[in-house]
Amino acid sequence: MRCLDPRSGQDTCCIFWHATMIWGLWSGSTDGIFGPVRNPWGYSRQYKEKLITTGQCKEEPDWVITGGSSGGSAAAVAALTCFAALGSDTGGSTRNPAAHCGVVGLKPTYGLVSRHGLIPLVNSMDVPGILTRSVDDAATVLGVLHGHDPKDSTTVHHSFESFSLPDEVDVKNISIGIPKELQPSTQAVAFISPYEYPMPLAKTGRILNSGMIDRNYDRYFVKAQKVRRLIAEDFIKVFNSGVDVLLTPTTLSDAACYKDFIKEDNRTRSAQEDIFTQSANMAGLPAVSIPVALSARNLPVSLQLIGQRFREVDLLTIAKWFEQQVNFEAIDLQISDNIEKLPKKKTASTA
Amino acid sequence: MAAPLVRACGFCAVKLQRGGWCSKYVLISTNTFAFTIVRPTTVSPQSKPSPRKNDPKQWVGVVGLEIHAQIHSNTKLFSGARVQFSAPPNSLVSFFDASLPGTLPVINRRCVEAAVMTSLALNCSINKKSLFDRKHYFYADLPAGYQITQHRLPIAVNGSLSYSHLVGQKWNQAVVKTVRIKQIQLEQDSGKSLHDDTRKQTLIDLNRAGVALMEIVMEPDMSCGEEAAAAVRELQLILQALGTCQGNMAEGQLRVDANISVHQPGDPLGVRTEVKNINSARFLAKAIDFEIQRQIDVLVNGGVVHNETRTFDFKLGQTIPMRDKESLQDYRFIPEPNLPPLIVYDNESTPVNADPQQVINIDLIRKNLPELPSAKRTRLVDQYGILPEHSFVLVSEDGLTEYFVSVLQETKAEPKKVIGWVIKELLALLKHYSLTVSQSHISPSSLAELLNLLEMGVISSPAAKQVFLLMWKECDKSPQQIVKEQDLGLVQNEKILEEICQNVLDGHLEEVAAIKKGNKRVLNKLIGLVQKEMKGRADPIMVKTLLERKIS
Repeated sequence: MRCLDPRSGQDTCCIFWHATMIWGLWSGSTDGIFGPVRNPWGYSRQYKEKLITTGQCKEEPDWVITGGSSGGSAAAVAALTCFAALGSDTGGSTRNPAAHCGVVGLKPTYGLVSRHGLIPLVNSMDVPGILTRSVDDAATVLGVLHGHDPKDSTTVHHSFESFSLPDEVDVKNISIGIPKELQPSTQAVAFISPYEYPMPLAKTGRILNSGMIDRNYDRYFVKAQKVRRLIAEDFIKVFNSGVDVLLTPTTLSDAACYKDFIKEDNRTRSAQEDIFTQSANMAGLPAVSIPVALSARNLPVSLQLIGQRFREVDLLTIAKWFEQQVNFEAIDLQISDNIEKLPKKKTASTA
Repeated sequence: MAAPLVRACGFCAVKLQRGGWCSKYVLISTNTFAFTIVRPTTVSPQSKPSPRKNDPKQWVGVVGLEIHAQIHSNTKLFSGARVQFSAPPNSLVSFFDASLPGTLPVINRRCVEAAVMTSLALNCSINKKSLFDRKHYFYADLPAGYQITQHRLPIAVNGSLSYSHLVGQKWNQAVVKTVRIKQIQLEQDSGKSLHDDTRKQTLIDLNRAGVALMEIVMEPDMSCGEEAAAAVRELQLILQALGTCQGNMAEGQLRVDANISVHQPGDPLGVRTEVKNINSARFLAKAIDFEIQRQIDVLVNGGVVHNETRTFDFKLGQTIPMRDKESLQDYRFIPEPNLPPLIVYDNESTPVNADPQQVINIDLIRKNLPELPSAKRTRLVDQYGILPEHSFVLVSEDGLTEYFVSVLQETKAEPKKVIGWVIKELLALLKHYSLTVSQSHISPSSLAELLNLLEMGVISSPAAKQVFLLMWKECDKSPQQIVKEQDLGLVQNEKILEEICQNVLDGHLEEVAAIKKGNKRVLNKLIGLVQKEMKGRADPIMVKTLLERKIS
């Protein structure tokens, strides 16, 4: 299906599949109106083989969650049903399911891609996210979507140009920063390599994103804004000191199976999940999650790269190098064996 | 024996305990045989008052205004939906106005220009960078749950508005007053709620939701209803001259809320109330004066003025408290995240390669401002030599200046004469029949013809007035026709006039004697009598000459 980009009049790719997406900041994509989303990797040969040996997750329901909130989109790409999918990313909602589903999840720079039509969660941090199976594909989709949109006053007029990535990537002079210390508590996160500033990162996230607005919002809101600016400035310091991109894991662990996921309170569990991803939204920076290996349970594990504003070309070039090095295994979906176990078609009422 | 604790107030007979307080007096001490009652001037339940407190004449009103002016534009402030009065309900609502998720505000250039024009006309400083905020509150006609406004940094501050306040016995003395403009800000209008009590439901019309408003805040520099009304009328004229707002209060294009308090000069300002629901300048004056008097009465009687919102009931001519008295609202202001700061430029700061479509230049706007009412009034006085109060009326009435100038173009009569006809004769008829200048039955050319007849001496002044009235009634007849038909031509036949004069003199020997003694003014009475005989058609100069000749 071909369609025209309304802005440039040029041919562009078209999204013609609508996947299940969840509106929310933290979730496992398990509470949608059409039912929970199941991770295709849970039906892969790789995962099933390991199951037999480890003996985990044998009882029903034994399917694996996708993470969230753009779990449907990630699952659609991972299950080979489409070339690419769109999600949203406010605190990691594209990168998180990308990591769990073993696909590439790109969060563009804030202001690069129009939010017109995107149901808002936190207007100053939301961006549309891109999910693909390879870094090259992500660059292609970004090439179509970027640019100033008159309908979104927060999109910038930037000299950003569409790009394609080189096949041979030379990383000789690239400097990659790895945060020295990260405390997974909700109180503080220490960040960045040469400077160790403990940042109340997660707490800021809670304040800005939760409904904690009352008469004292001035104190909390202004304080959170100040902390946010400090975070953004720290990133700038790091990049100015010679670091090209930052490297972190995307998530704390591989995807849980559903029955384990629903044991803990959804909020408590999810509260820690965005610890690596939230800061990029705070600072408006681009970040990409790429699958690098399989875990002990043979589920995808991913790494995240965070780059400088509007420097997606550098970010994705380095990501492509990683992708080439790790040569991540393709999913071996065995649908026919699992047909009886697949969920029956539900006649869900539309609200 | 214990002193009786209860006494009847000697003045109003209300039973009082010691320390008790009736409407005017307090019982401060008592023993078996006597009690002391004092007036509140010396002891009052409140803190030590000055002796002046009881005197209503010592109180002055303090009035500030918050004016919402609907910007005259084709589309709304942040969405492309059309702006139109009285359209079918909910027919002018875009997705953004309905607050559907995924929609974003995009600012309307015309609205920013209108705000800049208005700010310049009101002598404000323009903030080259201004910010938008969200003001949160829940109401059915505000679908988003917040209004986009400019709370922290509005587009303009620190202006002034000069207006003429007519005083004096005959309202012919104009005192020029100034009110400071605190700020002007851009904000969205809300939808309309229509309460259907019969079916116990409220209907919401979102046509008005998102329409651009300029909120103009006037400092409390006014002291009575008349001043506030004069200030608002001047603002209306300015907005209409600029074209930024049509200023029709009855249609809701200009909404005025008054903040009113009273105090005694020298004392700190009193507690203020806010009065809403005023839909004409006349009612504004009434509401303010009523509220000032009400507050004075409350305070003089020892009561307390509450900080509240009141509505004006124009049928009763009173302000009454609004039904839902909320406690202090927390609007939870946050910066509007979907709009970057609003930047306007001047000649110096305009970026070199800027697209003129994307840039608002305040110097350019200032250059192209139309003639403001105050400048127009001064020009009319200088150009035509008319009095200031005349030019005031000319400018206040839509189209009257143009009418006046048209008449002048076709007649040799002096402006000072023409102005009288336009302001007294024509305007009186227009007001009597509630017509606008454009609906006048007498065109400028016709009036010019009439004045020419007068100038040439074909008719007398009183006759001209009669012709004027007939011209109004019989629009298709020219002045000459009417003069002919009614035989109103000036009579200059000396013989006829002499006869009449002689008759009048014969019948008023006392007056003749008085004139001979030196009282010249009595002559006017005799002239009047001659004119009466002649039905006003006598040549006045000839009559005067004849009478004088006969007497001496």
